[in-house]
Amino acid sequence: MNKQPYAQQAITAYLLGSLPADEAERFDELSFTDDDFAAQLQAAEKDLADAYVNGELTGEELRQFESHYLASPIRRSKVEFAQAFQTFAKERSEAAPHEFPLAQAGSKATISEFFSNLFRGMQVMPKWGFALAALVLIGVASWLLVVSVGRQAHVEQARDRGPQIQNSATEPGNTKIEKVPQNASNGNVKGPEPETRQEPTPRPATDPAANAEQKQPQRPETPKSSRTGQSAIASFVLTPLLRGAGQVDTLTIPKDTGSVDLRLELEPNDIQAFRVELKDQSGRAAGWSSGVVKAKGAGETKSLNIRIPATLLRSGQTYMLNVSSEGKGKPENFSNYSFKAVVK
Amino acid sequence: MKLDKKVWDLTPEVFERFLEWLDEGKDSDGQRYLEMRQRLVAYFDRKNCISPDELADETLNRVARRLDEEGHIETESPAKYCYIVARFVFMESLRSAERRNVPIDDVLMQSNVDGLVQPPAETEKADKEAMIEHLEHCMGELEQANRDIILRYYFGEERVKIENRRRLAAAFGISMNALAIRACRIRDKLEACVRKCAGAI
Repeated sequence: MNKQPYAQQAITAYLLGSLPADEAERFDELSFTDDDFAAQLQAAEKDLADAYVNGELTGEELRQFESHYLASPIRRSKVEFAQAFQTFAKERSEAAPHEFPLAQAGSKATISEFFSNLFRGMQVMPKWGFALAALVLIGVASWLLVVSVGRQAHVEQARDRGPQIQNSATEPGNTKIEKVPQNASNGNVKGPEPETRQEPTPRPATDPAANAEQKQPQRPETPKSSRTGQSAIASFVLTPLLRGAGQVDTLTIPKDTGSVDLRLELEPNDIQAFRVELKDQSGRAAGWSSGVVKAKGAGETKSLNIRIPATLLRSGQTYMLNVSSEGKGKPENFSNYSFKAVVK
Repeated sequence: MKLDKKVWDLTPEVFERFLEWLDEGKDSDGQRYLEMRQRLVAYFDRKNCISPDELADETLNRVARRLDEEGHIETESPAKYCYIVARFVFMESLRSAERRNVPIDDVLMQSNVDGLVQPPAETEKADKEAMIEHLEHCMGELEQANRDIILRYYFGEERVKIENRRRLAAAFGISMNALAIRACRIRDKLEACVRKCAGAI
């Protein structure tokens, strides 16, 4: 069985009849020969019908859905079922909200809420097991605190040595120290290669508290910010567009921000490396692209970390981050992330 | 891919052998056949053919006949062979439409009369209400765990839905892919139940 992941966008285009003929033929064959693809296709079709019913499709996708997808009586009946199901589910949730507590847009899960939701519906969870998990968390948090203190001390020492390094760089014959310009006003500046960049506050992937905080719905009012050296860094997390334009995250970037760190959450895949390109809303390159970026995490929680110079982002403009897979063969579009920059 | 026009009959023995061939040695109790038929119908439907069910049955009959008459079929996999035959059946359906001077668009449903005629709004509303009633009944037939999954998995706005799915996968200790497949199957079962209720009335 082929374990290759298939980009959600390509599958949506296939369902809307807008994929090039040779790719569509490949997908035709896969729909028979690859059980994983066939399952993904069925799931994508249901999501597409739900998106249409919920008014989430816009622009060209909406036009294609109405002109192509709805041309078939079988597909129309699927949409009718989706309509009835969404109405039924909405009525059910309003009548009995306690039956299945759902995430609310904009809400932040507390740690206790996360655990209560995690264990709801499970058959048996011994209390001692929960206590043991809590003890493990405390141990991990203590270890992180120790590591953080140690790193802070290291940073202080490096800062103390800073003037000596600068002075030595001006002397002839010394090793040249390359500085990345933080305040380039030229929109065509290519950003640094972020392959080895680490997240500002790394946490183990198994830390549920970290996961609970990091997996919130993505409409941050105030970004995480930190200061390194001379300029501030604003951090955000983006999730992929499920289909089409849809909702666009608004990133509020403080005025003095030098760089914008973005963590792009990836759909489940087996790809190791990607490339990311910044584009404006008309699809033109916006002056930044990454080199090869390796995904962090594993399985269902993989993500990409990138850093974009804040000066490239104009307030009020909408941008798209285009993620393509990197590896043997032709790069393939994998996912898109859309956001609107607001500088305050 | 044209077979001899002599009369051929899909007997129970031939059908049994065809099922075994599709199963590739693992007894699926007919599930593999149903899956393959569903994929065929979906394929012909995506090609906008007017009668996807008929073309799917035609494809399966041809494969079963070939297996019966020749004893075996050299192929990478039964699924691949079914796809190859399906492509021929599709192309033949287009060519036979040309021979009958039927515009391709008519064959391919763009001018399907059923699609163009919109039912009155009141009928649509009544149909939807009936479907919701059937949903209530069919949801009651599901196990509690499956009810939870299908409601939590498919309900909500885009971002809320993503978050719900992650939590659901974590709560059940399964991957997102496994959850998607499971939710899809439950929804198919629910839809089949609703259509059965609608057909029974």
